[in-house]
Amino acid sequence: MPFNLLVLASLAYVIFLFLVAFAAERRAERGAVGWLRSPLIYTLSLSVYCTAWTFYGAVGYAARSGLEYMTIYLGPTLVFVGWWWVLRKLVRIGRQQRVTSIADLLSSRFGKSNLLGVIVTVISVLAATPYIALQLQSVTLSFGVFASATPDGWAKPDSDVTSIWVAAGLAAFTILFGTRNLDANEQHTGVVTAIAVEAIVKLVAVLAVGCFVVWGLADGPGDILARVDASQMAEWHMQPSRWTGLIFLSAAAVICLPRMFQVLVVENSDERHLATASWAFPLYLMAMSLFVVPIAVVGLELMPEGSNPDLFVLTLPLSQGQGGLAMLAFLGGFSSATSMVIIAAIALATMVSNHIVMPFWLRMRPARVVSGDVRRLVLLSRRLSIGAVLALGYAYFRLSGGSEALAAIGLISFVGVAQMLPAMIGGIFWRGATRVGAAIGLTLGVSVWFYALFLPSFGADAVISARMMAEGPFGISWLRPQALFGVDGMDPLIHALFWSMVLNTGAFCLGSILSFPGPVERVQGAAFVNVFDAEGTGPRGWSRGQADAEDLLVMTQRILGDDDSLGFFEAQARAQGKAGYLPDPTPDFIDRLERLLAGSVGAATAHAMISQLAGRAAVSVEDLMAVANEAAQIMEYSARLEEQQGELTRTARQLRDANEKLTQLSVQKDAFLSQISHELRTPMTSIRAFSEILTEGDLPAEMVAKYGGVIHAEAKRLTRLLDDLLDLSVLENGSVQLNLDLTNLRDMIDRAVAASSHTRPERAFTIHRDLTSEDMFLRTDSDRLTQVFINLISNARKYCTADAAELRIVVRHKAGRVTVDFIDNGTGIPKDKQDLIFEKFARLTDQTRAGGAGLGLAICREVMANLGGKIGYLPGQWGAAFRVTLPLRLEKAA
Amino acid sequence: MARFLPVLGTFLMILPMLWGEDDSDIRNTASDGIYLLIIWIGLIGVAALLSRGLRAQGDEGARDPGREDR
Repeated sequence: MPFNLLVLASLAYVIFLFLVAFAAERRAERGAVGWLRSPLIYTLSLSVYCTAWTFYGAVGYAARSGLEYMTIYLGPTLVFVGWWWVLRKLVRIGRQQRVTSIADLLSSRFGKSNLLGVIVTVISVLAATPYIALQLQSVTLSFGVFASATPDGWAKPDSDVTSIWVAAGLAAFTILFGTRNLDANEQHTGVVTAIAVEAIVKLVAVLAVGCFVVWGLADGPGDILARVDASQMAEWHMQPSRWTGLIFLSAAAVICLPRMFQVLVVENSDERHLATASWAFPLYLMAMSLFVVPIAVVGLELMPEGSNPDLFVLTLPLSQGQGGLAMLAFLGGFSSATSMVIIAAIALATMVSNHIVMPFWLRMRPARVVSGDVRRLVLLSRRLSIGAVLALGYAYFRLSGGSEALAAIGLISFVGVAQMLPAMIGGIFWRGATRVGAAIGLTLGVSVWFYALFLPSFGADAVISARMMAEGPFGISWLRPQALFGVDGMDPLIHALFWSMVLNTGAFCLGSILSFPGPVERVQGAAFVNVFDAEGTGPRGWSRGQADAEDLLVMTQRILGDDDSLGFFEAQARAQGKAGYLPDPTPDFIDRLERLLAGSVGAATAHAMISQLAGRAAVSVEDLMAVANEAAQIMEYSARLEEQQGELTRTARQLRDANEKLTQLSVQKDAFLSQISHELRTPMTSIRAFSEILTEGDLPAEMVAKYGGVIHAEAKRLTRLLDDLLDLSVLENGSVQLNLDLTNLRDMIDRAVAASSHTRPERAFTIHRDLTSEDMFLRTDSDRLTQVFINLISNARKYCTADAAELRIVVRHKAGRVTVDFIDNGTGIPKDKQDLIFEKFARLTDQTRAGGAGLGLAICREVMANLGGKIGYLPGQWGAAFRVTLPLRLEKAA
Repeated sequence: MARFLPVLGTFLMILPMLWGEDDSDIRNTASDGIYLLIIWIGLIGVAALLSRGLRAQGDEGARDPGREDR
């Protein structure tokens, strides 16, 4: 096939995936998740386990070592069939603790320790590098096979060029969909859907090639069996150590591989999907490996001596002149490689940015937690990490020469990730497991793996000299990389697996027994091990009242963005029975906030960030009781008491708030009464005085005109005051007549800006607007709404204390509702006054007698209520900020 | 039963190791393959049956509050 056609086909396929991912993302954004989060998609997305190694390598593996290839799929089958043991617990913990990666799980379990996070991240990156190289190699090889077949079309570029293009393309796709937003749940609907599509493509491709081989080239299954017995595969010896070792290894890998953990735990949206996956995923694996032996056997028979069995899936149809089938096989292999690389890159990038970049950055500039834009930093670091991960894979591909058999590289990687198994299983089943044990075990296991398997994988004399391999470093024979402690004659892979796991597990257990867990660790341990008993009652490590809610809000905004964090704070405040955006910083609330943040930046980082604001986490008596005490009855009783107490506290808080408000209001009302009598009396007095003078007569005409003018002006002032009062009472009764019409929001704001320009016109005052976002038509009472805008803008002109006063008007449209924010750069409104400003007669200071009688914002509030919207003070904006929310189309009340 | 299934599966899967040790290490690859496939299909079938019952059982606690509070 011409090379250019091949490139075109791959490009078309990639664009198709783009569209799928994009459409899924759009659907999810609109909230129509539906089938996007179904058990089927979940199961299909798990197929990232089947990489190019499965697709191409399994046939080669079978051609070389007979049925041994099956171990790679039997291990995961056992894990999934036994989901009730481990997977269910992992998924539950993952959801309850908002785990973002396997590094996050381990760091969170062992006392939110960042050290462990770093160790696990380094292991994962090290282990994934050869694996990513493997994918690049397989795509490059398959390109090579196709392009060499025909000389016409473009000249085939050499394989280095192909692989660098593939790596760059994958990086671009991953960055585009993997790091679009910083979601609190760290789920990527678009990518997962694209992966599910790829899963179908690769399954269909393998089945098609398989059927062609069994029924097209051979005479059905019986013939295949006869051919197997006649081929060199019949001479295969089952080595018991390799057979059990590899089943164990693949079982460990399926839960420890960062990409598997990502789709299995992080992207899981419903625990019940696991029940379906428990049989459907093994079924998928079986279907993928069903035709491996037939293809291998027929390939060995038909293909010329010395052709690479790793590529039989591709070369066999091609040699039989089945171009279309070969194309399908090529796309299948392409799918396997790309899906693995995309998910692995997302998982690794999350780990690198959460456990290495963020903690490092926090340590460098701790003061900036509340001021810097963490959100952009996190996304940027993820994007760079994705690039770096792919670059590492490319580098390994170039270094290792890309000539080894596919299976060998994959298994090296598996042994690396299997090192996390003891710490993970120990962490979720054994309360006594400690951070020290986990750290020592992991380090020891990885060192053995690195020394005995990873470094020798570069080939003799590449990193480790041949002499050292044969005689050991410095001639110490029991340290020979492939015969540690004098154990000779073992298969190198099983040898490394055995020693690394034995030393890892041993050190983990010993270290855990000998060391003592810290308080946070203890609490987390209990929460993980007893995840099914302690539903919802997570550990509470925060002491009360040290953090300021507004500071917390500002910090959250930097990570999650304005809308999400305001929404979360508002919901929490409502749950506490408070109005507005700022809940009380109770331990419960801070704990919930920490878990929310952990979903974006990882447990350790979230813990560190909140610690900076809330002070050190202290473990309360209840937690220690929960850890130590097995007496469930006491716990239940105290829980009930606690619940009642919570209820009482909430009521008391509401009452206290109400009382405070009433007292303040009564004081204000008295003040207002004297104020209004004064306001009414002043004009009255002058009117009376001047009218008395006028009744005396005998005055020059110009004096009469002057006094008449004064009387007129004073009467007007009186009328305005009375108008305001009347207006307010009408609005409050709800008997106001609304004139609904369709008006452009921009025109209304224009009008408001023009009308308020005569308030303190001598001041320099800048208004920032975004005209395009304002351009929308609202169905509402435009005069009333404009009145609200005028009021807000004039207020800003009047009270903004900054030297160069600025006002920002931000318009947003979301789900049928429009929000208009007015944010100035003054000092803002102190927290204790924020509740009060919308009350009648409220005035912040006595010196500001610039305006009416303190009715403006009260009128605004009533107007907005009548327009089906609301107006509120927006805290945490470094200035006074008001948010007006109203429906896009106001329907007339029946 | 659900917990027992993987144990049974493991046993059946490593069973072929014990066969044919006596007659000169040569084994019948084709029949081994068929044996493993049958076990595989059997495990999938039993797991599918069991998952129905377990799903209903797991329903009660399946939705946790942590993920829905935003």
